[in-house]
Amino acid sequence: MSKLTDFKNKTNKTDNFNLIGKVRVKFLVVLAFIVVASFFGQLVLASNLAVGGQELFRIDEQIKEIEAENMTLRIEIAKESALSNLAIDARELGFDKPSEVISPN
Amino acid sequence: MDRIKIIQVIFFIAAAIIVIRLFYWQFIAEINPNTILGLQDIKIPAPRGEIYASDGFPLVANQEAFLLYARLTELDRNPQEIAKLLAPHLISEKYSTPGAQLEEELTNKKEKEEGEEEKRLSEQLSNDKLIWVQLARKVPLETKQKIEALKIKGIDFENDNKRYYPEASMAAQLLGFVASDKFGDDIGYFGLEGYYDSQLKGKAGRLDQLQDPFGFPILVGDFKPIDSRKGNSLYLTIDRSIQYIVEKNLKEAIERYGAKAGSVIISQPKTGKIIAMATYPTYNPALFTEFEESAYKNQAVADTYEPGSTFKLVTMSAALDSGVVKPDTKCTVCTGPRAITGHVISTWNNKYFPDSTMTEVIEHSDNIGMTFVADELGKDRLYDYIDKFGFGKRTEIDLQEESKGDVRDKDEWRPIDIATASFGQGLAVTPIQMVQAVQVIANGGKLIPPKVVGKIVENGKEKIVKSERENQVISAKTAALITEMMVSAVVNGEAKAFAPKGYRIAGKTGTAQIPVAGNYDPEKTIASFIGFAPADDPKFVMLVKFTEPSSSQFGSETAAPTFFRIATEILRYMGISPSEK
Repeated sequence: MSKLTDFKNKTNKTDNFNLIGKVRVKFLVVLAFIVVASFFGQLVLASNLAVGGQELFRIDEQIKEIEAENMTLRIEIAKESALSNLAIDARELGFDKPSEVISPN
Repeated sequence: MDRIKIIQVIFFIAAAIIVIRLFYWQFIAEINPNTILGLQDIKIPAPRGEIYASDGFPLVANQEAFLLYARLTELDRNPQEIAKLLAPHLISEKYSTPGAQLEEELTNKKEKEEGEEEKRLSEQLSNDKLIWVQLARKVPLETKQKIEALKIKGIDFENDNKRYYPEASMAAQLLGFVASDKFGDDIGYFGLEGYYDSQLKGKAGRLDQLQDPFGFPILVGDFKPIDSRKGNSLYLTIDRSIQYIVEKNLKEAIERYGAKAGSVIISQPKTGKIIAMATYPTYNPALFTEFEESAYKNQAVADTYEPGSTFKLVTMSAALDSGVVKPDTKCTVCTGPRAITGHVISTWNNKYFPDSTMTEVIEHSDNIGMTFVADELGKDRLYDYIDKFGFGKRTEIDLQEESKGDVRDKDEWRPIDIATASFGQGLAVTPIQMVQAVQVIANGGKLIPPKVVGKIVENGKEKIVKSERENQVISAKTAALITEMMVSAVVNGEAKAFAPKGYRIAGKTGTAQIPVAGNYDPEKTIASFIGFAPADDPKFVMLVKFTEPSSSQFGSETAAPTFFRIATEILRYMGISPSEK
């Protein structure tokens, strides 16, 4: 006949085992979830980044277009304000060369 | 269904999605076969720096232009048909001026050029050994739009910016132009484009980037961009309005006097800054291939010539500074022609003025009087002053094609060489050297080398360009004395009728014969006038030089009137009132 104390000890051991087992399973499930989530997360991120390349390309193209437009506008402004053109406009408007120096008094 | 099965289903679906996606990329997606897969090593071209006038107006800017190419395997029409369509758009831009009515001769030339272009394109497009061929470079935006409207499959464009000159041919020889080197890269030739090429061209960047099959960048891949660095911009000391005045007057004068060529240089004597520099005939740097190569050279710094009487200022300055003569010293040999070691020297008009003072020698531009000065000065001192004034060596102006002139070694000078050098013959100078020498007189005896660039802007940071050397060549007192002699030469000299009233202008005419095969050509001359104004507080030094004027051989009748015409406009532009009534 076993002692009551021994029986008690056996029961405690089983309880401890169940507790550790439950903790381990939970830990493994959480870990697995994290791994799977990270995996999918990375897939989503990588996918987004890959698609982001198109966005970057679009923005780069837009920058190039605006820069080209700026360049064209600068040229147009310079063309209009070139002295050879201004001299023609001035003549047409009736302006003449100064015949003397006019100093403000 | 238990949890394991659920996970199995999820994995299965994920795997299926991946397989379907791969199948799509492999067999369904239409990937452009010309897209280079994988790592792209792209060269990012650096924009070339601009060149601005002193008022910040661009004299040279960058314009959008394109490289035209054909992907030969994709062409949807036969090469002859494409060549016929493209040729009219790829001939010289001179035929495409909007609204221009071409003369018959030009129309014929255009048709001929079109035919040649068509033949060239047809040959290039028929090459079955290539898959890609470059058809034209620096195609303007308007031409690109016209070609795109033709909708030819396999014809495409790449950026290939080019230079644009808002003031067309203004200061062309000073600016230079940009063409391609043997690798097809842009490189500056002549003038500022040549001299400052390493500063203007910038540094090309590189883009090492993973790209997907459509050419889009993959951001998770390697991405190692090295940005291109734009070339530095140059801000010149050139005053655009004065440059315009000078070029207009120079062109008119060349036509009026029937000269072969002409140059004008204007500088600020106190700083050495060049405020205008023009040479005629000129060219359009945007269409440089249409002009003779001889037009590219900046005669104001590259041409050497015998300065003639303008050089008398140097000899007289040397003599005054050495103390061997004074303004009222009398010439004791000015009674008639003078023979020196078998060579007879006479005056330009065969008029002789016995006992004339040194001031009168300059007024009359008396060659005999100058031989007297040379005798007093002696070979060593004359040679040393010629050297100190900067002759026989480059002024170090920041332009590519500067010559150093020709002054013989001192040991080679015979008595006749000393005599002729005293009135500017037997040695060769450049126009810019003459301007530098007269700057010395206008600047109280100090020599400051000329400069064209005032500042260089690199990434928004300004670097001021200054002349580092500053030498006292003659004393301030000598400079004042020679200035008064030059004023007398204007007031009492041959060109006095052309001088603007009320202004004290210091100046000197020069008429030099042109050496041909050991002798001087009796008909051809180089006529010049050099001076500064106002004489008491000089704001500018100017040289006007004509090569072989035909209406008159003399500087007093060609270069001097042009000098005074330009000077009058500049004085008014600068707001300088007459000092005398």
